[in-house]
Amino acid sequence: MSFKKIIGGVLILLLSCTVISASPIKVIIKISNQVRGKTFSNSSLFSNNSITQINEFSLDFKTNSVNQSLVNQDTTFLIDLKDDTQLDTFIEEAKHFENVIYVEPVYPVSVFSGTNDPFYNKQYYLSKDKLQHIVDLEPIHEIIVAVLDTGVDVRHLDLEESIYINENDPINGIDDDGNGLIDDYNGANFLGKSEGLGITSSLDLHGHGTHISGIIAAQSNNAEGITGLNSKAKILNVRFLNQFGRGNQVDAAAAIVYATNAGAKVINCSWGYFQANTILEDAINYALSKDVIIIAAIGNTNTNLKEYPAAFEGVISIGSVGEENKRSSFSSFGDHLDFQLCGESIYSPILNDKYGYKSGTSQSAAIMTGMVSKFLSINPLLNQTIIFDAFVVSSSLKDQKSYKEGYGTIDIQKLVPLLTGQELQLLENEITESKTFTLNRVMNYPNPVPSSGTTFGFETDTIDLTYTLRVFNLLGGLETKFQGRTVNGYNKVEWTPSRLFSGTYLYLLDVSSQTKSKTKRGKLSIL
Amino acid sequence: MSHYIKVILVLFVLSTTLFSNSFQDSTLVEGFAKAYAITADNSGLETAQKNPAAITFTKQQFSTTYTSYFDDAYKTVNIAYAKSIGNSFYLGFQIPTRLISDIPETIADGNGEGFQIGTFSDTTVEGVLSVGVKSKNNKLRFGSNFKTRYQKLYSQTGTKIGLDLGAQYYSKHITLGASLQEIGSIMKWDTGKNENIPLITNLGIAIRPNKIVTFLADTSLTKTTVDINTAISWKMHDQLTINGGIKELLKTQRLSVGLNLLLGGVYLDYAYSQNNYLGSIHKVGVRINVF
Repeated sequence: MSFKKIIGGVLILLLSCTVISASPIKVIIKISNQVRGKTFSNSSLFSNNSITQINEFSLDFKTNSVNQSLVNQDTTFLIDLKDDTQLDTFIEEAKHFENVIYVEPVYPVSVFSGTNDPFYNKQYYLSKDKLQHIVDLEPIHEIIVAVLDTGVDVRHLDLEESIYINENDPINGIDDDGNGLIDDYNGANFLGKSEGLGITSSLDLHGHGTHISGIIAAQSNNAEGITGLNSKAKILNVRFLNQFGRGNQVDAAAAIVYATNAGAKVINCSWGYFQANTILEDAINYALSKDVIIIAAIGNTNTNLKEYPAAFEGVISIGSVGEENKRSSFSSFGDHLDFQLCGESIYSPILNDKYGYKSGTSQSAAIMTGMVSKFLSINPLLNQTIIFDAFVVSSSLKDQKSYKEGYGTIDIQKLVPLLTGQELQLLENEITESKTFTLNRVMNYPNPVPSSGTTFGFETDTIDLTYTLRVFNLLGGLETKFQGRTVNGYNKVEWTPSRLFSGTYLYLLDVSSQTKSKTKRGKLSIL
Repeated sequence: MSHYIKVILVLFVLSTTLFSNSFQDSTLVEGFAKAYAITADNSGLETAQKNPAAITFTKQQFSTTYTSYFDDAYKTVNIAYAKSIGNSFYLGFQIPTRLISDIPETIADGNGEGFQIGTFSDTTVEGVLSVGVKSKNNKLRFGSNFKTRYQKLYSQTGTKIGLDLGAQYYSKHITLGASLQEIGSIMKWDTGKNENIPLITNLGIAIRPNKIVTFLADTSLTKTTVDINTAISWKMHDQLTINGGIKELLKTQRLSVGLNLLLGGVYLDYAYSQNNYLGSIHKVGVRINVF
């Protein structure tokens, strides 16, 4: 049977289906061309009942280039169906035709970013997780970081120096570099590419892509705004999401291939969907085969629902924690979760030279992208395996990956030497916070307690820890509480009990830093 | 007067010494699981510690309890016995005991810092004689507790006598209860220190819409404090009852749960609660109804 007859059969099937469909109304079909060199004529496609449009689509959008690993001898079609088409039936029947590799609805994607929160301090995460040390690392090489998102406000004062410029394709209405895109001078647009919408602008109309880019590469020491984790990174602005933060996976796949071919070393994907098109997975695998590191947000559903591309093998999947290093209430989880980074109230550029707070695993992924890009800019020979393994070794759950936390949070003090060979010089307050403190000789004296009162004493080797001392009656009711900051050495808290009956009471001393806590309890008797 | 009552009264006179502080529900198991909301409860001997009128719901019962508080910070035990005499008169006797050991004895050293020189203990034993009567139609019930307490704390001893009075109105679906605890209670220490124990007024209600579920609530009032306790008792089976409640709704909001299991005529009781700071409380008890 000839190739044309096979195609004709498939298309007849398409024509004969008249069922009701829910969204999406787009289908992607990949067909294997058994005979090399045969071309496909689609003239017979234009009269039908269910089909409204057919477009041949290639991830390798350059008409003259060959991308053997993706295109090969297969042909991909994007088909628009009528709203009343029964999609499941359509797909099921189409799959049974010979040479059909896959038939899938075109799945959407959307950004993973939550609400603004004006109450947190700006960029608190830099000091909390010692990420300031990442900022301070001196980059050597320029690194292209692709932000596949809603676009970037390339004129933002804190970002304009960070945008990757394709000097080979100036803005003149001509595809000067022959890469299939016209005027991708400071960004490329793939929004609507699969639908042939003809959108060319890569400017951000939503704000999400700008916020993500700022976290990664906002300029440092420019007397403006914030500092990105790698202000020497060059953001390859690739837009495929619209002003509502929505797009589809076919455009996403094309964007990934473009970014890979443009020389991006890291691709940030702060978006996803719970079903995946094969074409997206193909694009991801292509990028991974070119040693591109792909970092994706795991999602904001607070469930173990797998969303893609984060759930793809080889993609580094990032969840969110808050100021207390506990999993954020919105952050998804599951065995596909790799690491957790700050994702709550992240302050970064938004549209029109403004700044704002956003929360989400999108932001956590951007922080990871910034860190990875900084390490690559110091040592471009690092590959995904080396980087991933170094993060694992430096993580809080390196020996016991958790379903809810993945490998947990990252210890920068361990990570930096592994990937840069440089030892981290901690600030004095960071030294205080990071080391384990001692808590000894906890007691009250004199005991039994006379009418003149008693002193609670305890010894610690660290200043400025927070202590809380609680005294309870025998039924567990709180009688009194003291709080304060420790001194290095012997600490004293004096107490004269009043209006308490003679008898025995229980007390609890809690001493804590930001990351560690120790508790000791005791008994005292009032005479 | 019967021979038994004479003996008990003699013992009462000979053994009284003075104590301080109420045990509250520290030795109870079922009453603890019910969040001490037992002023109107009719479970008998345990309830009598809060409302002595409840003694009128026992025929002849022996019980013992053991409690470990806050991951073994201290322990309590209770041994109790109650018997009805005739159709209307009831007697009960309980010995709740609290044991706290390994309390550090400390002084200030030459540098003004703490230094431990030994340990001591705090032991409290109470004797509670409960007397109750009920009306011929079983609706009205009255009772009283005559309490004596002895406490040895470090090298000091304290003693107290006290009186509780209680009343209940009982019907098929509802019980109202009221009691006064620690009437005239003063804890007298051999150091000369005296502590007035506040009078506690308890008002409670129990609602039994059917034979399976009982809702309990009561309030405890002193001159300076008010608190509300609530509980539910659910008889899942003739041999199994689940209890749970919240003590001190306005303060600590202690959640407690427990169960009563009847096996071969013996009740096995268990109760549990957790304090966010101090740890867990585990209670076990055995009750035998002797007929």
